[in-house]
Amino acid sequence: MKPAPFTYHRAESAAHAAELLADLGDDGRILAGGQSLLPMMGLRLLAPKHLVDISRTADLATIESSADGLTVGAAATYRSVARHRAVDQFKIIGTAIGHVGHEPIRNRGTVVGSIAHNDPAGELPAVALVLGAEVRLRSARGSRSVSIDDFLTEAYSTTISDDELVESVRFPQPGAGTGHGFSEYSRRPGDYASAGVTCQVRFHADGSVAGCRVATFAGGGSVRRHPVAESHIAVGGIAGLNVELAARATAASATDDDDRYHRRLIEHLAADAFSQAGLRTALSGGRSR
Amino acid sequence: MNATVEVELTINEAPVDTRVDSRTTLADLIRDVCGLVGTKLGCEHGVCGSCTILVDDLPVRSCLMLAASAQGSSIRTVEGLAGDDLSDLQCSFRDHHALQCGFCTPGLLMTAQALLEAPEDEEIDVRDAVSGHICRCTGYETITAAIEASVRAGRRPAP
Repeated sequence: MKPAPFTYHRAESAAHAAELLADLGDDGRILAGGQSLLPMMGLRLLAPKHLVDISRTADLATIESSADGLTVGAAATYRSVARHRAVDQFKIIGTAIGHVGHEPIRNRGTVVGSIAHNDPAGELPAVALVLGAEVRLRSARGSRSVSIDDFLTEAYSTTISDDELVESVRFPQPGAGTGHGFSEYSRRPGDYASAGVTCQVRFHADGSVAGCRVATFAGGGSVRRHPVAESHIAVGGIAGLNVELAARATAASATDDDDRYHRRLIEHLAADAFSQAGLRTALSGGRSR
Repeated sequence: MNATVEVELTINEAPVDTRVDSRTTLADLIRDVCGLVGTKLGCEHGVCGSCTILVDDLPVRSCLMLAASAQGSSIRTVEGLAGDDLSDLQCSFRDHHALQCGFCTPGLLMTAQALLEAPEDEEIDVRDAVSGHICRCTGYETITAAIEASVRAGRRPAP
Protein backbone atom coordinates (compact mmCIF):
# COMPACT_ATOMS: atom_id res chain seq x y z
CA MET A 1 0.00 0.00 0.00
CA LYS A 2 2.80 2.45 -0.82
CA PRO A 3 2.55 4.71 -3.87
CA ALA A 4 5.10 4.37 -6.67
CA PRO A 5 7.80 7.06 -6.53
CA PHE A 6 6.89 10.51 -7.83
CA THR A 7 8.15 14.06 -7.64
CA TYR A 8 6.27 16.39 -5.33
CA HIS A 9 5.49 20.01 -6.18
CA ARG A 10 3.82 22.43 -3.79
CA ALA A 11 1.73 25.02 -5.67
CA GLU A 12 1.97 28.49 -4.16
CA SER A 13 -1.01 29.83 -6.13
CA ALA A 14 -3.54 28.80 -8.76
CA ALA A 15 -1.33 30.40 -11.43
CA HIS A 16 1.69 28.47 -10.17
CA ALA A 17 -0.28 25.20 -10.28
CA ALA A 18 -1.26 25.94 -13.89
CA GLU A 19 2.37 26.69 -14.83
CA LEU A 20 3.53 23.44 -13.23
CA LEU A 21 0.90 21.47 -15.16
CA ALA A 22 1.92 23.19 -18.40
CA ASP A 23 5.52 22.02 -17.84
CA LEU A 24 4.62 18.50 -16.72
CA GLY A 25 2.07 17.63 -19.42
CA ASP A 26 0.28 14.33 -18.90
CA ASP A 27 2.86 13.25 -16.27
CA GLY A 28 1.41 15.71 -13.76
CA ARG A 29 -1.59 15.28 -11.53
CA ILE A 30 -3.28 17.59 -9.05
CA LEU A 31 -3.32 16.50 -5.38
CA ALA A 32 -5.98 18.25 -3.31
CA GLY A 33 -7.29 16.35 -0.26
CA GLY A 34 -5.95 13.06 -1.59
CA GLN A 35 -8.71 10.97 0.00
CA SER A 36 -9.42 9.22 -3.32
CA LEU A 37 -6.13 9.75 -5.16
CA LEU A 38 -3.78 8.45 -2.46
CA PRO A 39 -5.62 5.11 -1.92
CA MET A 40 -5.64 4.59 -5.70
CA MET A 41 -1.91 5.32 -5.81
CA GLY A 42 -1.34 2.96 -2.87
CA LEU A 43 -3.17 0.22 -4.75
CA ARG A 44 -1.03 1.12 -7.81
CA LEU A 45 -4.14 1.79 -9.86
CA LEU A 46 -2.51 5.15 -10.59
CA ALA A 47 1.18 6.04 -10.69
CA PRO A 48 1.57 9.70 -11.69
CA LYS A 49 5.20 10.81 -12.10
CA HIS A 50 4.49 14.23 -10.62
CA LEU A 51 2.02 15.46 -8.01
CA VAL A 52 1.10 19.14 -7.78
CA ASP A 53 -0.17 19.71 -4.23
CA ILE A 54 -2.84 22.42 -3.99
CA SER A 55 -4.06 21.50 -0.49
CA ARG A 56 -2.33 24.56 1.03
CA THR A 57 -2.90 26.91 -1.92
CA ALA A 58 -4.70 29.84 -0.30
CA ASP A 59 -6.29 31.33 -3.43
CA LEU A 60 -7.87 27.95 -4.22
CA ALA A 61 -9.34 27.43 -0.73
CA THR A 62 -11.99 30.12 -1.10
CA ILE A 63 -15.75 29.71 -0.69
CA GLU A 64 -17.75 32.63 -2.05
CA SER A 65 -21.46 33.22 -1.94
CA SER A 66 -23.19 35.80 -4.15
CA ALA A 67 -26.40 36.32 -6.14
CA ASP A 68 -24.78 34.06 -8.76
CA GLY A 69 -24.58 31.18 -6.34
CA LEU A 70 -21.99 29.39 -4.27
CA THR A 71 -18.48 29.18 -5.71
CA VAL A 72 -16.25 26.58 -4.11
CA GLY A 73 -12.50 26.65 -4.70
CA ALA A 74 -10.49 23.53 -5.51
CA ALA A 75 -8.79 23.33 -2.11
CA ALA A 76 -11.91 23.91 0.05
CA THR A 77 -12.50 20.84 2.22
CA TYR A 78 -15.85 19.14 2.78
CA ARG A 79 -15.62 20.36 6.36
CA SER A 80 -15.17 24.02 5.44
CA VAL A 81 -17.99 23.90 2.87
CA ALA A 82 -20.41 22.12 5.23
CA ARG A 83 -19.74 24.74 7.91
CA HIS A 84 -20.05 27.75 5.61
CA ARG A 85 -23.08 29.92 6.35
CA ALA A 86 -24.09 30.00 2.65
CA VAL A 87 -24.77 26.26 2.77
CA ASP A 88 -28.05 27.12 4.54
CA GLN A 89 -29.35 27.96 1.06
CA PHE A 90 -27.87 24.76 -0.39
CA LYS A 91 -29.07 22.21 2.11
CA ILE A 92 -28.68 19.43 -0.44
CA ILE A 93 -24.92 20.09 -0.51
CA GLY A 94 -24.74 19.80 3.27
CA THR A 95 -26.82 16.62 3.17
CA ALA A 96 -24.61 15.09 0.49
CA ILE A 97 -21.41 15.97 2.37
CA GLY A 98 -22.81 14.23 5.46
CA HIS A 99 -22.80 10.98 3.47
CA VAL A 100 -19.13 11.27 2.43
CA GLY A 101 -16.92 8.89 4.42
CA HIS A 102 -16.24 9.78 8.04
CA GLU A 103 -15.14 13.00 9.71
CA PRO A 104 -11.38 12.50 9.19
CA ILE A 105 -12.05 12.01 5.47
CA ARG A 106 -14.21 15.14 5.33
CA ASN A 107 -11.51 17.12 7.14
CA ARG A 108 -9.10 16.52 4.24
CA GLY A 109 -11.22 15.67 1.19
CA THR A 110 -12.48 18.43 -1.10
CA VAL A 111 -15.81 19.08 -2.84
CA VAL A 112 -14.13 20.02 -6.11
CA GLY A 113 -11.76 17.05 -5.94
CA SER A 114 -14.74 14.71 -5.73
CA ILE A 115 -16.25 16.29 -8.84
CA ALA A 116 -12.94 16.25 -10.75
CA HIS A 117 -12.39 12.60 -9.76
CA ASN A 118 -15.92 11.58 -10.87
CA ASP A 119 -16.04 8.41 -8.81
CA PRO A 120 -19.13 6.40 -9.84
CA ALA A 121 -20.19 6.42 -6.16
CA GLY A 122 -19.49 10.14 -5.75
CA GLU A 123 -22.20 12.15 -3.98
CA LEU A 124 -20.88 15.55 -5.08
CA PRO A 125 -20.73 14.93 -8.85
CA ALA A 126 -24.40 13.86 -8.67
CA VAL A 127 -25.42 16.93 -6.67
CA ALA A 128 -23.46 19.16 -9.07
CA LEU A 129 -25.42 17.59 -11.95
CA VAL A 130 -28.85 18.26 -10.44
CA LEU A 131 -27.92 21.81 -9.40
CA GLY A 132 -26.60 22.56 -12.90
CA ALA A 133 -23.14 23.51 -11.66
CA GLU A 134 -20.53 25.30 -13.73
CA VAL A 135 -16.93 24.03 -13.70
CA ARG A 136 -14.17 26.63 -14.00
CA LEU A 137 -11.01 25.23 -15.60
CA ARG A 138 -7.65 26.96 -15.58
CA SER A 139 -4.44 26.41 -17.49
CA ALA A 140 -1.43 28.50 -18.43
CA ARG A 141 -3.33 29.14 -21.69
CA GLY A 142 -6.23 30.80 -19.87
CA SER A 143 -9.51 29.94 -18.21
CA ARG A 144 -12.75 28.44 -19.46
CA SER A 145 -16.07 27.42 -17.97
CA VAL A 146 -17.86 24.18 -18.77
CA SER A 147 -21.30 23.07 -17.67
CA ILE A 148 -21.22 20.04 -15.41
CA ASP A 149 -23.20 18.12 -18.05
CA ASP A 150 -20.35 18.65 -20.51
CA PHE A 151 -17.65 18.03 -17.88
CA LEU A 152 -18.52 14.58 -16.50
CA THR A 153 -18.21 11.66 -18.89
CA GLU A 154 -17.96 7.98 -17.92
CA ALA A 155 -16.72 6.82 -14.50
CA TYR A 156 -13.45 8.47 -13.37
CA SER A 157 -13.40 10.55 -16.55
CA THR A 158 -14.06 14.17 -17.44
CA THR A 159 -13.40 16.47 -20.40
CA ILE A 160 -10.50 18.21 -18.63
CA SER A 161 -7.23 18.60 -20.60
CA ASP A 162 -3.86 17.40 -19.30
CA ASP A 163 -2.64 20.92 -18.61
CA GLU A 164 -5.81 22.09 -16.83
CA LEU A 165 -6.90 22.09 -13.23
CA VAL A 166 -10.41 22.66 -11.91
CA GLU A 167 -10.08 26.03 -10.25
CA SER A 168 -13.59 26.16 -8.76
CA VAL A 169 -17.14 24.92 -9.16
CA ARG A 170 -20.11 27.30 -9.03
CA PHE A 171 -23.46 26.01 -7.81
CA PRO A 172 -26.16 28.41 -9.11
CA GLN A 173 -28.67 29.79 -6.61
CA PRO A 174 -31.66 27.41 -6.90
CA GLY A 175 -34.22 30.21 -6.62
CA ALA A 176 -37.72 30.28 -5.16
CA GLY A 177 -40.07 27.37 -5.84
CA THR A 178 -37.31 24.80 -6.05
CA GLY A 179 -37.34 21.47 -4.22
CA HIS A 180 -34.44 19.09 -3.67
CA GLY A 181 -34.11 15.46 -2.76
CA PHE A 182 -31.15 13.30 -1.79
CA SER A 183 -31.51 9.65 -0.88
CA GLU A 184 -28.62 7.24 -0.42
CA TYR A 185 -28.32 3.71 0.87
CA SER A 186 -25.10 2.17 2.13
CA ARG A 187 -24.73 -0.94 4.22
CA ARG A 188 -22.87 0.96 6.94
CA PRO A 189 -22.78 4.74 7.41
CA GLY A 190 -19.69 6.19 5.75
CA ASP A 191 -19.17 3.27 3.37
CA TYR A 192 -19.37 3.72 -0.37
CA ALA A 193 -23.02 3.99 -1.35
CA SER A 194 -24.81 0.93 -2.65
CA ALA A 195 -26.84 3.43 -4.65
CA GLY A 196 -28.11 6.99 -4.44
CA VAL A 197 -30.58 9.31 -6.15
CA THR A 198 -30.71 13.08 -6.05
CA CYS A 199 -32.98 15.56 -7.80
CA GLN A 200 -33.93 19.20 -8.22
CA VAL A 201 -37.53 20.08 -9.13
CA ARG A 202 -38.60 23.58 -10.12
CA PHE A 203 -42.26 24.40 -9.50
CA HIS A 204 -44.52 27.08 -10.98
CA ALA A 205 -46.45 29.22 -8.51
CA ASP A 206 -49.54 26.98 -9.06
CA GLY A 207 -47.60 23.89 -7.99
CA SER A 208 -47.11 22.47 -11.47
CA VAL A 209 -43.64 21.32 -12.46
CA ALA A 210 -41.51 23.75 -14.47
CA GLY A 211 -38.43 21.57 -14.80
CA CYS A 212 -36.53 18.76 -13.21
CA ARG A 213 -33.09 17.17 -12.99
CA VAL A 214 -32.55 13.64 -11.71
CA ALA A 215 -29.17 11.98 -11.18
CA THR A 216 -28.03 8.68 -9.73
CA PHE A 217 -24.69 7.52 -8.35
CA ALA A 218 -23.31 4.04 -7.53
CA GLY A 219 -25.80 1.19 -8.06
CA GLY A 220 -23.47 -0.37 -10.62
CA GLY A 221 -23.34 2.64 -12.96
CA SER A 222 -21.52 5.95 -13.25
CA VAL A 223 -22.88 9.29 -12.08
CA ARG A 224 -25.42 10.43 -14.66
CA ARG A 225 -28.78 12.09 -15.35
CA HIS A 226 -31.91 10.29 -16.47
CA PRO A 227 -33.73 12.29 -19.17
CA VAL A 228 -36.67 9.89 -19.49
CA ALA A 229 -37.44 10.16 -15.77
CA GLU A 230 -37.00 13.93 -15.95
CA SER A 231 -39.49 14.21 -18.80
CA HIS A 232 -42.02 11.99 -16.97
CA ILE A 233 -41.94 14.46 -14.07
CA ALA A 234 -41.92 17.52 -16.31
CA VAL A 235 -44.92 16.41 -18.41
CA GLY A 236 -46.73 15.29 -15.25
CA GLY A 237 -47.76 18.92 -15.10
CA ILE A 238 -49.44 18.98 -11.72
CA ALA A 239 -46.98 17.81 -9.08
CA GLY A 240 -47.53 14.18 -8.25
CA LEU A 241 -48.57 12.84 -11.61
CA ASN A 242 -46.19 10.32 -13.18
CA VAL A 243 -43.92 10.20 -10.13
CA GLU A 244 -44.03 6.41 -9.74
CA LEU A 245 -43.41 6.14 -13.46
CA ALA A 246 -40.42 8.47 -13.08
CA ALA A 247 -39.02 6.40 -10.19
CA ARG A 248 -39.26 3.26 -12.34
CA ALA A 249 -37.72 5.08 -15.30
CA THR A 250 -34.82 6.27 -13.14
CA ALA A 251 -34.18 2.72 -11.94
CA ALA A 252 -34.50 1.26 -15.45
CA SER A 253 -32.08 3.72 -17.00
CA ALA A 254 -29.57 3.52 -14.12
CA THR A 255 -29.23 -0.28 -14.02
CA ASP A 256 -28.79 -3.34 -16.23
CA ASP A 257 -31.87 -5.50 -16.82
CA ASP A 258 -30.49 -8.41 -14.79
CA ASP A 259 -29.40 -6.26 -11.81
CA ARG A 260 -32.70 -6.59 -9.97
CA TYR A 261 -31.32 -5.64 -6.56
CA HIS A 262 -30.03 -2.22 -7.62
CA ARG A 263 -33.09 -1.65 -9.83
CA ARG A 264 -35.50 -2.08 -6.92
CA LEU A 265 -33.24 -0.14 -4.56
CA ILE A 266 -32.97 2.83 -6.93
CA GLU A 267 -36.72 2.82 -7.55
CA HIS A 268 -37.32 3.27 -3.83
CA LEU A 269 -34.51 5.81 -3.38
CA ALA A 270 -35.88 7.80 -6.34
CA ALA A 271 -39.40 7.82 -4.87
CA ASP A 272 -37.92 9.03 -1.58
CA ALA A 273 -35.86 11.76 -3.28
CA PHE A 274 -38.88 12.93 -5.33
CA SER A 275 -40.96 13.07 -2.17
CA GLN A 276 -38.31 15.17 -0.39
CA ALA A 277 -38.35 17.55 -3.36
CA GLY A 278 -42.10 18.07 -2.89
CA LEU A 279 -43.54 15.60 -5.40
CA ARG A 280 -46.32 13.41 -4.06
CA THR A 281 -45.80 9.68 -4.50
CA ALA A 282 -47.89 6.64 -3.63
CA LEU A 283 -44.77 4.73 -2.53
CA SER A 284 -43.63 7.25 0.04
CA GLY A 285 -46.71 9.24 0.94
CA GLY A 286 -44.86 12.48 0.27
CA ARG A 287 -46.02 15.92 1.18
CA SER A 288 -48.25 18.30 -0.74
CA ARG A 289 -47.18 21.77 -1.72
CA MET B 1 13.92 12.42 -10.59
CA ASN B 2 14.05 14.66 -7.54
CA ALA B 3 11.84 12.46 -5.40
CA THR B 4 12.61 13.79 -1.93
CA VAL B 5 11.12 16.72 -0.09
CA GLU B 6 12.00 18.79 2.97
CA VAL B 7 9.38 18.68 5.72
CA GLU B 8 9.24 20.88 8.78
CA LEU B 9 6.48 20.40 11.34
CA THR B 10 5.89 19.68 15.01
CA ILE B 11 4.79 16.37 16.51
CA ASN B 12 3.47 16.60 20.07
CA GLU B 13 5.11 20.05 20.18
CA ALA B 14 8.56 18.70 19.32
CA PRO B 15 10.00 20.22 16.14
CA VAL B 16 10.78 17.82 13.27
CA ASP B 17 12.90 18.97 10.33
CA THR B 18 13.76 16.21 7.90
CA ARG B 19 14.03 15.20 4.25
CA VAL B 20 11.87 12.27 3.15
CA ASP B 21 10.86 10.46 -0.03
CA SER B 22 8.04 12.39 -1.73
CA ARG B 23 5.82 9.35 -1.39
CA THR B 24 6.26 9.10 2.40
CA THR B 25 2.89 9.26 4.10
CA LEU B 26 2.45 11.22 7.30
CA ALA B 27 1.91 7.87 9.08
CA ASP B 28 5.28 6.57 7.86
CA LEU B 29 6.99 9.81 8.88
CA ILE B 30 5.51 9.50 12.37
CA ARG B 31 6.34 5.81 12.77
CA ASP B 32 9.50 5.17 10.77
CA VAL B 33 11.29 8.53 10.85
CA CYS B 34 10.23 9.75 14.30
CA GLY B 35 9.86 6.33 15.95
CA LEU B 36 6.43 7.13 17.39
CA VAL B 37 4.88 3.72 16.84
CA GLY B 38 1.75 4.34 18.92
CA THR B 39 0.01 5.35 15.68
CA LYS B 40 -1.01 2.09 13.99
CA LEU B 41 -1.38 1.22 10.32
CA GLY B 42 -4.18 -1.21 9.56
CA CYS B 43 -5.69 -1.03 6.10
CA GLU B 44 -3.55 1.85 4.75
CA HIS B 45 -6.39 3.10 2.60
CA GLY B 46 -8.47 5.15 4.99
CA VAL B 47 -11.11 2.62 6.02
CA CYS B 48 -10.05 1.21 9.41
CA GLY B 49 -9.28 4.44 11.30
CA SER B 50 -6.29 3.01 13.23
CA CYS B 51 -3.89 5.68 11.95
CA THR B 52 -6.10 8.64 12.92
CA ILE B 53 -4.11 11.55 14.39
CA LEU B 54 -4.76 15.26 14.90
CA VAL B 55 -3.44 17.71 12.30
CA ASP B 56 -3.90 21.28 13.50
CA ASP B 57 -6.47 19.91 16.00
CA LEU B 58 -8.60 18.03 13.43
CA PRO B 59 -8.71 14.23 13.13
CA VAL B 60 -7.13 13.04 9.90
CA ARG B 61 -6.14 9.64 8.47
CA SER B 62 -2.35 9.80 8.57
CA CYS B 63 -2.14 7.03 5.92
CA LEU B 64 -4.05 9.26 3.47
CA MET B 65 -1.91 12.35 3.83
CA LEU B 66 1.57 12.86 2.44
CA ALA B 67 4.19 13.97 4.93
CA ALA B 68 4.95 16.77 2.45
CA SER B 69 1.35 18.04 2.68
CA ALA B 70 1.77 18.42 6.45
CA GLN B 71 4.50 21.06 6.03
CA GLY B 72 4.15 23.61 8.84
CA SER B 73 1.43 21.66 10.66
CA SER B 74 1.09 20.89 14.30
CA ILE B 75 0.61 17.13 14.69
CA ARG B 76 -0.63 15.30 17.76
CA THR B 77 -0.41 11.55 18.24
CA VAL B 78 -1.40 9.19 21.04
CA GLU B 79 2.03 9.69 22.62
CA GLY B 80 1.04 13.30 23.31
CA LEU B 81 -2.04 12.45 25.40
CA ALA B 82 -0.46 11.25 28.65
CA GLY B 83 1.68 13.36 30.93
CA ASP B 84 3.28 11.53 33.84
CA ASP B 85 -0.05 9.73 34.19
CA LEU B 86 -2.61 8.63 31.66
CA SER B 87 -5.05 11.34 30.55
CA ASP B 88 -8.63 11.29 31.89
CA LEU B 89 -9.77 9.99 28.49
CA GLN B 90 -7.25 7.15 28.57
CA CYS B 91 -8.31 6.32 32.16
CA SER B 92 -11.92 6.23 30.99
CA PHE B 93 -10.98 3.71 28.27
CA ARG B 94 -9.26 1.58 30.91
CA ASP B 95 -12.10 1.87 33.42
CA HIS B 96 -14.74 0.92 30.82
CA HIS B 97 -12.71 -1.97 29.35
CA ALA B 98 -12.81 -0.12 26.02
CA LEU B 99 -9.92 -2.12 24.57
CA GLN B 100 -8.67 -5.65 24.33
CA CYS B 101 -5.84 -6.03 21.81
CA GLY B 102 -5.38 -2.27 21.66
CA PHE B 103 -4.57 -1.95 17.96
CA CYS B 104 -7.46 0.40 17.16
CA THR B 105 -7.15 2.31 20.44
CA PRO B 106 -4.69 5.08 19.48
CA GLY B 107 -6.88 6.11 16.54
CA LEU B 108 -10.04 6.03 18.63
CA LEU B 109 -8.35 8.04 21.39
CA MET B 110 -7.39 10.78 18.93
CA THR B 111 -10.90 10.93 17.44
CA ALA B 112 -12.33 11.09 20.98
CA GLN B 113 -9.80 13.76 21.96
CA ALA B 114 -11.04 15.93 19.06
CA LEU B 115 -14.63 15.46 20.29
CA LEU B 116 -13.63 16.60 23.78
CA GLU B 117 -11.98 19.69 22.31
CA ALA B 118 -14.92 20.67 20.07
CA PRO B 119 -16.45 24.06 20.88
CA GLU B 120 -18.99 23.87 23.73
CA ASP B 121 -21.87 24.93 21.45
CA GLU B 122 -21.17 22.17 18.96
CA GLU B 123 -23.32 19.07 19.07
CA ILE B 124 -21.22 15.95 19.23
CA ASP B 125 -22.24 12.49 18.17
CA VAL B 126 -20.06 9.83 19.78
CA ARG B 127 -21.53 6.89 17.86
CA ASP B 128 -21.07 8.68 14.56
CA ALA B 129 -17.44 9.47 15.42
CA VAL B 130 -16.76 5.87 16.49
CA SER B 131 -18.32 4.59 13.25
CA GLY B 132 -15.17 5.76 11.45
CA HIS B 133 -13.10 3.13 13.28
CA ILE B 134 -13.01 -0.65 13.06
CA CYS B 135 -12.57 -2.58 16.32
CA ARG B 136 -12.65 -6.39 16.10
CA CYS B 137 -12.49 -7.02 19.87
CA THR B 138 -14.91 -4.97 21.89
CA GLY B 139 -18.18 -4.72 19.97
CA TYR B 140 -17.93 -0.92 20.41
CA GLU B 141 -20.35 -0.59 23.36
CA THR B 142 -17.56 -0.15 25.90
CA ILE B 143 -15.77 2.33 23.61
CA THR B 144 -18.82 4.57 23.23
CA ALA B 145 -19.43 4.26 27.00
CA ALA B 146 -15.86 5.35 27.74
CA ILE B 147 -16.04 8.35 25.43
CA GLU B 148 -19.52 9.37 26.59
CA ALA B 149 -18.37 9.25 30.23
CA SER B 150 -15.37 11.39 29.35
CA VAL B 151 -17.57 13.91 27.49
CA ARG B 152 -19.94 14.06 30.49
CA ALA B 153 -16.98 14.67 32.81
CA GLY B 154 -16.19 17.81 30.86
CA ARG B 155 -15.23 19.05 27.43
CA ARG B 156 -12.08 21.11 27.21
CA PRO B 157 -10.60 23.40 24.59
CA ALA B 158 -7.54 22.39 22.57
CA PRO B 159 -4.28 23.23 24.34
